[in-house]
Amino acid sequence: MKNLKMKSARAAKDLSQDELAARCDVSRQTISAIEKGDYNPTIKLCIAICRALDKTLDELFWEE
Amino acid sequence: MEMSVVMGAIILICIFTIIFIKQKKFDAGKHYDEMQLKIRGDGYRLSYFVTVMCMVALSFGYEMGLERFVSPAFGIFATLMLGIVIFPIYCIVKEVFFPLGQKGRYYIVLCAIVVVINGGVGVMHIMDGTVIQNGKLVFEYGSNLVCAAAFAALLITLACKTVYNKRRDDR
Repeated sequence: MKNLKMKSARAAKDLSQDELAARCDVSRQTISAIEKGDYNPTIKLCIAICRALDKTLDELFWEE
Repeated sequence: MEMSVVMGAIILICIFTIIFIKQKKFDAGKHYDEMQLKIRGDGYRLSYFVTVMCMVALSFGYEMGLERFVSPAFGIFATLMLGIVIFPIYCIVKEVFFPLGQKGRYYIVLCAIVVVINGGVGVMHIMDGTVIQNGKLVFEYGSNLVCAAAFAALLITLACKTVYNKRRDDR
């Protein structure tokens, strides 16, 4: 399932996938795969993404 | 086995050992992220199963008389090279061959050198007529061609992927 919350949080911060990937120490492909819903990140990566986007885990990764 | 083949093998091993040690130091700060590691694991599994299936097919082939055309050593070597090269090709296609932050120019140059050297030696053997002896492909003089073909496949995959990525980024 696509992670639109993460995508919009990234857009709100005006970050490209490359920039977010660099902040989280992962590849651009990983960020792209997470946003498309093709990959489920580990909790460690989820926390890194939340820190980079100044959001909580619930705000980015909780499924309604 | 000819002395020149042994010397060539020893020189190659020394060169690759030096390159490997230097590469280890160069790559000290580089790593693969979690998704890349997972996909690389899939690549290892694919490579393993391709190798096993090809070995089984080769065994059946030799039972059916393939030995008339291909020496067993050549057949096994070609099968192993196929299995070995499947992994990097899979990783290149999935964009997980290089660790984070590495462009891969070093590997491209290395592959090109291997293709040129082995291809050159292979062509010389073809012109000498030593690749096929008594109607059979032999390992001693045919292995260079297999190496050249394997690394050429890697180079072609890298080139195609680079062009594809550039076009995708331009769009």
